[in-house]
Amino acid sequence: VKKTILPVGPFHPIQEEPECFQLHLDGERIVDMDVRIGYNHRGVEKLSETKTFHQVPFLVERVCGICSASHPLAYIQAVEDIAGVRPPPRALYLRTIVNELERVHSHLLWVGLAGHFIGYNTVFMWAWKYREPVMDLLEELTGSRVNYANARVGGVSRDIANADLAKINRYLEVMDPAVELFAGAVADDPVIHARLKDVGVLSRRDARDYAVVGPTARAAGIPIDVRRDDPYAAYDDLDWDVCVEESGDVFAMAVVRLRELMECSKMLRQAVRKIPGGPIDAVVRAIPPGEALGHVEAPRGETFHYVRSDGGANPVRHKIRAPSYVNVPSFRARAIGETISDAVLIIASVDPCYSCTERLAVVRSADGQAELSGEDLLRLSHERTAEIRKQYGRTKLDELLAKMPPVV
Amino acid sequence: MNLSDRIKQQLGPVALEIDQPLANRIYVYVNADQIVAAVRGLYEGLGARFQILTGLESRSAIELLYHFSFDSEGTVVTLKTKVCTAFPEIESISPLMASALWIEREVHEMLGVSFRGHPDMRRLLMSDDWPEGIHPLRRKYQL
Repeated sequence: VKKTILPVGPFHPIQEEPECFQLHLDGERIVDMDVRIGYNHRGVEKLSETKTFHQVPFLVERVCGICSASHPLAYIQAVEDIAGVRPPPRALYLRTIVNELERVHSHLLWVGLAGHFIGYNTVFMWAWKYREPVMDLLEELTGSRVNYANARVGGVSRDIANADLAKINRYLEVMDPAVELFAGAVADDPVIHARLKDVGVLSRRDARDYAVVGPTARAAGIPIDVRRDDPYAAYDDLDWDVCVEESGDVFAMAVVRLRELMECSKMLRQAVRKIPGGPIDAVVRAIPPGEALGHVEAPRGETFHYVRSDGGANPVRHKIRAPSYVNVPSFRARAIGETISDAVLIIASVDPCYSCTERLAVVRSADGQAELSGEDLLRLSHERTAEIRKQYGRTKLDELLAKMPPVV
Repeated sequence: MNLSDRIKQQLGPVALEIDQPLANRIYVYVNADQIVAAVRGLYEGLGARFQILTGLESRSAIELLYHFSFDSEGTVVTLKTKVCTAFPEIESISPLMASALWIEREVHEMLGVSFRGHPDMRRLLMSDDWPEGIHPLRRKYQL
């Protein structure tokens, strides 16, 4: 059998996390694959040992530009366990609010990219139009669009006035109906079904074997969510649901994220209403010797931090495990047997931080080399959607997209 | 029965000591040559989810910490074991679960621990031109 090896990746200037997927193809079908990572390895764990306990949050919020609230929080919770400190209630609520705003902008970013990958560029523009105000809100509330420097060991670094928190409600008034309308249109659109249903299925057994987390696990029927299972911040005080789907396909991963956007909104409204007054910081100076671990439900799943202290100023060991580290290898279980035109979608469906759909080369084993760009891979995906759309004519989703106000 | 009793019952003499510093954190000490039995007990016997493996060099040994989450209990259970600093070696748990494949490769390049029975010991994170035998998470490697 003549096998074609198709390397996808590794580099693109706008990617946060370059990865290289080598797809082994028989014709159009993926028969095997390998993932190479490490292109962006920055030695954060080693670097962390040179920072003081209070400096580390500033380092780890730069592990990922999107999960810049989740990483520091997981670290901080570990250090607070070592020190035996419990932050004041207002700080716990402020942490919850910033973390949920982070989830809203992360999930909206994913919805937009997923739309782009299957050829609905209007969805891309539309989702990002609603994402932008969340970034503005975060800037207004914390001082920065990314790297909020909000949580600190013992509490939060800066209070947010209740009058400013009320602006979150004003944003949700706009976002809620938009997400609901969109989720409804996607839920029974025949073209979306044809592209996403039964594509890249992750079985429950594979999900457990690869130990996937977050929306990837919940879409495959595994009901885990650190916010409920091992509650932190103020999640215990709020009334919300863990979104679980059973089918494990790309469609389920989209549905889980859209439903989670609605849950975020529920949580944010409650948090803004219930936030207590009082201090925002339990002052922590020295960290005693000891070890502890913290985990937080980031938008992509559980992020895990282990910290050990010998009583000095710096951690002697700080282990970080981001959610993509366990979610990305599961492509192997999901992509084999699928076609190249679905590969982009399957890679994107776990929302890796962010996959390399650009700069791709086809290497033919016998007759020399040919180069394809990332745009070609996208084109394959768009052509597939266009074909299916022709069969169905104008759908409810098309009506909705046509009615959307122009983006300025 | 609470979780730490269930672990005690499942692992029997493999668990040398069980320590529970917080209600939702349990540490189980095991001998390095019993690691596969211990992991099998938590993963297959008690249905835990493998979170990750932490490797670290302490003053006298290389410590390996296998973190497992019991999600329905909201508890993290860590298996702790030690291997010698000069020739660190331990049985691989990758034959039991695909989720250990990457992290064992990572601990191998970062700390020089060999995992017996791992199917693919290629580098994971360090670049191809990084010198052999230099492990960045060892204490003697200074930034």
